[in-house]
Amino acid sequence: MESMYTKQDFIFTALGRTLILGFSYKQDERSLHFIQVLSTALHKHFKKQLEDSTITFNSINLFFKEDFQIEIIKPIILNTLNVLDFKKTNPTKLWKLPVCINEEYTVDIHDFFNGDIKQVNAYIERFLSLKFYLVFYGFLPGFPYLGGLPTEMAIPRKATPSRLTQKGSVAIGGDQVGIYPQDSPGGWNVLGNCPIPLMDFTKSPPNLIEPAGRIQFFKISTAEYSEVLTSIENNTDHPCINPYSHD
Amino acid sequence: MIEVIDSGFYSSIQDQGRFGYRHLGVPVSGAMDQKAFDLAHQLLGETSDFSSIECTLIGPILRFHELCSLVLTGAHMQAWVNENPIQNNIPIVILPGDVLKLRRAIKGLRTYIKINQAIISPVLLGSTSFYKPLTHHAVIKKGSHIFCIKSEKVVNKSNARIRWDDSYLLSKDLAVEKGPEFNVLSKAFQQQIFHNDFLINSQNRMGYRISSPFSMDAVSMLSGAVRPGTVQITPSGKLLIAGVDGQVSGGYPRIFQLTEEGLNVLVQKKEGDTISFKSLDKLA
Repeated sequence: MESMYTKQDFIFTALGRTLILGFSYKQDERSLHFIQVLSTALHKHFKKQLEDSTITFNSINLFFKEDFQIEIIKPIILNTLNVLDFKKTNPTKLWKLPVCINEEYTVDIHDFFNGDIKQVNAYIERFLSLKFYLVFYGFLPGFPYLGGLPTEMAIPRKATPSRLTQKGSVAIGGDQVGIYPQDSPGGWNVLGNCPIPLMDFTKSPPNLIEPAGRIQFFKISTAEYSEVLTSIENNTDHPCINPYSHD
Repeated sequence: MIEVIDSGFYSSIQDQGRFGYRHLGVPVSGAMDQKAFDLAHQLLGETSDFSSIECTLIGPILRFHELCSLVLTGAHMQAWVNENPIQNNIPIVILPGDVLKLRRAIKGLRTYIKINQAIISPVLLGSTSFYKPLTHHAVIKKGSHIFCIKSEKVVNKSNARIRWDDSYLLSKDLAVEKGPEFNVLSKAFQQQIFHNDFLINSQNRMGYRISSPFSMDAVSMLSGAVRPGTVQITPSGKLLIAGVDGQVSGGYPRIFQLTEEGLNVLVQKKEGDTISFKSLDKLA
């Protein structure tokens, strides 16, 4: 597999003590995977000097503890790019996540299609056929931004955000998909609700899914949804709580 | 043990911050005014714990049940121990039964109460800093109790040699560097923005909202990294300056980054105050 980016594709800027390594967002898994591998390598290299490192759609961000000199850091990053062995990396996992799609949870999609059931069902059916990939966490602690929604399926953010978007809501904002880790005001259009908690800050690591991980949703009924919630509460097994499969 | 008789307007336990989890969308939190936070630590000498109580606008009323030493830094609030007025930046001895009363901020907005004992507060992701919903509470509650462990050094009021400068509490000038999207501003606005005063509309630990006359065309951009002190501009010209509890990414053009000093100046400003931006970069 060849690298999706070369040296010339990266732009260096700074935001105080944060070094921003900018590139153009390419909406494909391989490019994302490349960025993930590069980000991990840079984090490892600068570990002692960093508070944090993050990725967004089009940047790797290195949060340095102290002021840094870009003339010193830049050659190190370019060198990392040169020596990075992209071929040796493992393919990412495919996670199968249950999503309850019933009248309660699809109001926004119904509204968008003006109540046209046929269109709503066609949209949902196609949505469930897609494989998404986790680009990064942001907005709220544990809120994953998922890429992979075709442009023609984009639904604009609401002009006025809802006062309450429920925890577990699987929602669409433009051509991005997200899953609300907690109740929150939100401007995205809710399609369904995923009962599996994807983040537990009392555990280490807190997140179930790594960036570049792939996700496909499968539909469950309202009854199954309740069962899953009960199983999670009681820490028992349920066929729907086995969300990860190799692929 | 410290008894919370009155919690004040917005008082929370904060330490140096929660680092290493931004990649999961977790903001750093910690003390908004890191300068005042550090000063308190220095004035009391080495203590084993880094947590302070950050008070906002109106401070709490606390009854202490054990001997300790205490110092107030940051904003100057009306402050008494048992009805005797006390001053900032001078460590004092607190006896069992003493009541510390903080009321309105006279100069600045955020005051830090630091004692020479370790405040016992749940550690989550390496930090005691309150940040709801990650932590159970956002603020300390009236009627609650804060437990502490004695530190080795009980009273240490010999740190008079530490120098401090509180003039930043009255400054309105925020030192900034240009952000990655500074050029979304028109050439005229790029000049003007360093000459205007701006009014603070609202503020909390997530950030400051400031009005500006700079309306502009909506810029379509993907969410980028944001850190405390990042200044974003919305299409209607509202300036958003991220606080320590602010989101780790944002979708508006980042026109400025406040310096650490600039951020300390900002977080001592309240609703209705004005600020201005001072460039660190040489302007063309």
